[in-house]
Amino acid sequence: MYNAFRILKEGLTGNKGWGPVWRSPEPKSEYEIIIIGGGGHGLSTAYYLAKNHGLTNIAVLEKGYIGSGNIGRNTTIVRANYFLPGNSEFYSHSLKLWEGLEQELNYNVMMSQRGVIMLCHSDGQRDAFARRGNAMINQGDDAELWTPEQVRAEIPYLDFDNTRFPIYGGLMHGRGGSARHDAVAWGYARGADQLGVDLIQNCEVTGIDVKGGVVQGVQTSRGPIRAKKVGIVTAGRSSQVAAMAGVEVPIESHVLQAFVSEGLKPAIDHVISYGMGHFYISQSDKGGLVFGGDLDFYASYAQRGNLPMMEHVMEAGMTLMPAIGKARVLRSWGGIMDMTPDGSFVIDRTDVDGLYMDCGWCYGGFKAVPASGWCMAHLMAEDRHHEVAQRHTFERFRTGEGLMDEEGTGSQHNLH
Amino acid sequence: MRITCPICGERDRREFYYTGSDDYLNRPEEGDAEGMHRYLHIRENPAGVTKELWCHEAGCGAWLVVERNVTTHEVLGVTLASEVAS
Amino acid sequence: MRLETGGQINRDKRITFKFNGTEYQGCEGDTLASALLANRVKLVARSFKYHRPRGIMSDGSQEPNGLVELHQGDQITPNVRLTQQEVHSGIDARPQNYWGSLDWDLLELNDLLSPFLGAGFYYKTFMWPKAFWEKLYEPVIRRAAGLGKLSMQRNSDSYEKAFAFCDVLVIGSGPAGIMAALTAAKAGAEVILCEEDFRFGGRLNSETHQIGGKPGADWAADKIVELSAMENVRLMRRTTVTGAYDGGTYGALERVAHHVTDPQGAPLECFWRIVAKGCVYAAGAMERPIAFRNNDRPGVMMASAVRGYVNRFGVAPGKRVAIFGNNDDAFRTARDLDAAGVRIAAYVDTREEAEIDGDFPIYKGAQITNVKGRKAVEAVTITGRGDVMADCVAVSGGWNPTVHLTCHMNGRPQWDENIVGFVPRHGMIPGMEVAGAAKGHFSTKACLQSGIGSAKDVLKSLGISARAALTGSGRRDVQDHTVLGS
Repeated sequence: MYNAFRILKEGLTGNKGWGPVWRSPEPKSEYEIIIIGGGGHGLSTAYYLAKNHGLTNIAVLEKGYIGSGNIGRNTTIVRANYFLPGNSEFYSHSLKLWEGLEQELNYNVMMSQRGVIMLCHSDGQRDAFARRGNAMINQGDDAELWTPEQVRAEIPYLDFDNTRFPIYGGLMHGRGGSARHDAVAWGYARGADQLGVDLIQNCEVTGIDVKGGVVQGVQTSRGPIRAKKVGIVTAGRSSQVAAMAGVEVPIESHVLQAFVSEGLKPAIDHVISYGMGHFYISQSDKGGLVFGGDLDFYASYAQRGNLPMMEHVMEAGMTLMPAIGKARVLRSWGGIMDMTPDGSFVIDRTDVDGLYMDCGWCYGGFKAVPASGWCMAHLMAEDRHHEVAQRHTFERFRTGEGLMDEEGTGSQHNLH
Repeated sequence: MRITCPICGERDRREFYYTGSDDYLNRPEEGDAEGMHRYLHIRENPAGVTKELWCHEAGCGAWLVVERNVTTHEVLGVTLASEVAS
Repeated sequence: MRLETGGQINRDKRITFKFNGTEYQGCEGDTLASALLANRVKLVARSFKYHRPRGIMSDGSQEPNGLVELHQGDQITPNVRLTQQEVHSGIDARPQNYWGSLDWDLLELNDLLSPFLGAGFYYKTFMWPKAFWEKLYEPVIRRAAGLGKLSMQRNSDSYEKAFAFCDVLVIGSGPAGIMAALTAAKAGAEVILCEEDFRFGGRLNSETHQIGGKPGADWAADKIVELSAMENVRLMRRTTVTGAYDGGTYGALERVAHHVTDPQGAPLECFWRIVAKGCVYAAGAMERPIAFRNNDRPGVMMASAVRGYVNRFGVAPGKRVAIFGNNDDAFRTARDLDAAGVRIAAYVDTREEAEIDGDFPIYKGAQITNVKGRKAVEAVTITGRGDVMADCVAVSGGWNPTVHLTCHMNGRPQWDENIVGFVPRHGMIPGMEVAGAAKGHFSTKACLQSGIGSAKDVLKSLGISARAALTGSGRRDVQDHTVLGS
């Protein structure tokens, strides 16, 4: 149990009582359920399978180490400000789970509801935000349309009178915010381990065994493991892992870059999104400005980007807030994004019996970690979709019914 | 990333617009619903060499088929899309 | 304290600047770090978490401690490295990350509470009561975290960006970089030579090596004159190559006007997109520290930095210097300090068999295990000897090649048992050859040769004949020069 008294006690006795936070078990020859991928979504799936459905004969197979994927490198934003049915209820559910996550996991994931504001720069955009705000309120979430004066009072350092993009106000989502990304992985890993789930690191899945259309288990770098059900939760590598079972997916992989500045005293209090410049920013508790922009716009598995988008992000940042120009970038990175044709994710069965997939998170997977695991666990345990993720099927692409294209850009993977 | 346009020569990536896999060159027959689904949505998406459709947007405007390794970003070849399609 | 003679500074040109509210004098050619050391300022900063007193540790961009805010009008530039910023009369440098004053920082309490604030303690607490996280715990943590501050006023400076193209980009202007640039330039290639410092020459400016019968710094200056006379060469100092990207594209930040009080209309910085057909990477190496108790006290410095301040800036970082090393390189510090008349309080080498000779106390097979003094070093504890009075500790744990840029395109360096460090693998950046200390060549002679060799490899891949380079003066330099300490 983690609490202040434990820290006090350990501090007074030389900090000798802390043990490993989770076990490092050898893989067994058979499990009821195997989750491929020890990232945020895979770990939360395992955790909720155990917690909500009482299934504990589970292994999470991770190629690298826990937290080495996109859960360890993202811009940590949590929000439920979606517009379309399907996404609205899903992210609403996720935000509610975030709000109790520390107490649920007994692990401080530093969920900080500092407010997410989307800025608008024209009457038309403000009308669209008013409509979105109403959709959010109808969903039961919070939204407030801020006047330029309200924005100016709270965020005075923006360039309000920019000739091209003057600030007409913004849509404030007060319950949105940020969380400590690594802690989310560690918290779920610790929680799953305590419920009996085997977390197996350095275990790469090299093949998926299918017989007569039914999944049998997996081949790994640490030997074959049998299982009744297998979940592929490997965003970034979804196409490759699915292909091991002969499953084709509607995904193209792209690179999204993000940036962190050197440590600074508190300067930016909210999560600020500047859609016109494809720029968003927040400040971490440690002091770094965390910011990013759009995809590099070409397919990539390289986990690094190029200068054109970097320059664009820096210039957009300076356009919106000329006050951050004296800060220096400390590091940048690129992650592999599972882009789907409508920009929304998939939690679904595959054509192989017993094989399930949780994929296509585009660049919004972090905020979804709790609900993604919750719904994937529900699907794998009950073999039916959870009510907040019923629309997120592969079939929607085949039929064209129920596509969730929030940006309205149509079927091009990199435009979402 | 640098791409050598067959018409203009080697230019920075920022002059080019990426559209996606060269699957887009093989439009299915009218009425082929399954074909259209695959055409629009399903991608092989290999972690290796791909052929993609790019446009030299800020240059000559030509559509190009770029052969590229998406794991290393190495550009292996560039052909005019009109030549590939014909 | 400033030595009577020596250094590549202009003693006739005195410059007054401000640090922590006090006016100090430096010389033209000083960094803020060398000028502060000349004025015997030891405590310059506080550490991030425990607010321990910190002093200047290095003499370059690797400086982890000496970070300050530069104030100018309503603008603040945070986290400026004292070791990179040149002195000018407009400088108002202020310490950062303290509560109270730099001398009396109330958050130093954290140091006493360190048993309760171990790595990641915050994941295990601050969960009850739930509402307190956003209202109390997090605001307190946020205020304590971070280093310098932004003014959050509109940045009114101008910045520029530009493209540049070349056949061979040379990164670093130490002996390897200079020879690479000369070799490529003489073969007729278009060359860009980027140097992070405001003075070309790399470590040659900070060492006492002789090349071609003259001091290394003078040799470098001569070669730079030679290069600057060539039309196919562009010399870019104060320019840090920040990234390697696809297709031979490199990002580089030129600090155009950080070193002057009035930029006279020049942009403050220029971001260059350099497209190079080939590249010689000669960014040198960084000295490794050694772990011992209180090795972060003001006055504990890298040995190379201590002799660098003596040789390049004519500044002795201490009056009684203890040297602690595990390799032959540490002895250069003793030799240079001795020659400059700086007292060596103790020479401590971990190796029993080390061959050391000098007119100072020598402890072989020994270690420094602790440092006494809080805001400045007062004494060191030596195994088998006890405490020895000292006001500066020069530490040398060997050298690590500066591999960072070579890793920007997913490549991983490999372990080299000979230098006990990582060196770049070939081909980590397509088109790049690594030369000199960045490749693990630590003698001046090897650096000169490797600069030539790497440039020839790049020229060959570009189809440019390097014949001219073979018969040029570069070749003679390798044969003629005298190598010390190698």
